[in-house]
Amino acid sequence: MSGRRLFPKPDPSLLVLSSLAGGPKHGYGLMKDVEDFARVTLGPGTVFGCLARLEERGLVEALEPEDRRHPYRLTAAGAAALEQQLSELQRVTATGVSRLGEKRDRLSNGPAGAHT
Amino acid sequence: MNGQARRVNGAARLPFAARCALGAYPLWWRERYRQDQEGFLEDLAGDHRPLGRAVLDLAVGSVRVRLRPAGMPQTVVAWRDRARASIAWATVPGLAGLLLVSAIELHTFWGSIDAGTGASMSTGGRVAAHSLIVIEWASIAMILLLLIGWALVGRLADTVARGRAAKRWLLAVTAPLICGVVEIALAYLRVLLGAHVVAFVGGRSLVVYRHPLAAQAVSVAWDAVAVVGLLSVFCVVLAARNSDVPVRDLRGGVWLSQATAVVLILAALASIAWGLGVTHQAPIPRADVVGSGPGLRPWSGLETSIAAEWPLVSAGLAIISLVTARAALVARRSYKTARELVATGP
Repeated sequence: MSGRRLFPKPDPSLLVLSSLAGGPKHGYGLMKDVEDFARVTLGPGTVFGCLARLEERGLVEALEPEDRRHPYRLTAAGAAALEQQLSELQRVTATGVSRLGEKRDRLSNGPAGAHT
Repeated sequence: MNGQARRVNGAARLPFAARCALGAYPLWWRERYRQDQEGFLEDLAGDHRPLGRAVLDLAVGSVRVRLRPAGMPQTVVAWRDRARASIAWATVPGLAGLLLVSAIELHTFWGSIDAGTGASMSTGGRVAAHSLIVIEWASIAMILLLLIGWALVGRLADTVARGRAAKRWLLAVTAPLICGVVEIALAYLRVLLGAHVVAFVGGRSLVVYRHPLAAQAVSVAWDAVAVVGLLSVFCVVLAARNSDVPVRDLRGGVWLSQATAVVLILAALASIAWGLGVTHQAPIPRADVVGSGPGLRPWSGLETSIAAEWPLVSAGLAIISLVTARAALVARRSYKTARELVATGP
């Protein structure tokens, strides 16, 4: 069996936006939060690369620096973009989970059900 | 402790590799995110977490930012700096390309492909011979471009502040020239030290010196100065980086980077064709070799020695030409954007 992941890691931009939905954070706080809820460790190059791209599109904005670190917060456009992306993902997730449930039921009902 | 002092102390605490990775980002990025990234690394170290992965991530991130400058401010200075850095990326690797091309020419000098012309040349041999002509012209073109580049950097002298900075700048720009003069002097000294017997042993020339130890020392010095000379080109890049060059003066650099890219792509293609041609040429009987001498090897010997090296040389040239081509495109786009920003005003 190959050691490669079947599915790629979640998009860092989505993780960053999801983290900032919980309130403003600076780079390291954001990384720790993402680690907690997604079990993905983002490095400083990735985090600030994402923040720069999102800032350029007006999805996040930097606040006044605290101890040399700028906290970032989600803008209204960022919240809308995140909501749209999550609802699309939710649709896929809900469909997958529901079909898996049906499949499990058919399998548990015996081989005849599995062929239908 | 005030912010500036903390920043200096914080940066000083970071490992050298981390500071290098942070310094690899473009200037506009460092002005905007440097402190944030330093803070990130300090927090990471404060939690006793290893910095290795973070430093690697920073290094990869710096390449990404250089390729796609998201969030770059629309200012003349930022786009000018991007054009300038791209010109350096497009032209400096050309030196490595020149070395690789020299490696090919060294082979053909000793093996003498021309010795077989008209004898039993197959299509492969003819392709190799023609490719070699392209490679030789490419090497001449690269040397010319190098000289033009040097002249262009020399023109930037007017943009450097007077005084001590100007002296340092002058030294940096003339370093390759100084190395070149020393190389010629050392080569002449080596001739003076002997070479009174030149013999051919097993197809290789053997030079016997009257003062072998002194000749050996001169040879080592020659190699050392050659390395310093190549490295000193980076001094020229740094010197150009530290000069406040106006946007219009980058036009020559953009042209130079495009010409370098074209020449390197041609050299890479010719190198691939040359290697394939040589390996497909059957050994030529020694009796058929025209102008056969004790210093010439038969084709079969050449084929053996090239077989292991040409894929490496060609791969090296291909990578360098791709980097150069990409950088030349970025340089052109950045220069045009900077010009547009100059035209539209602040």
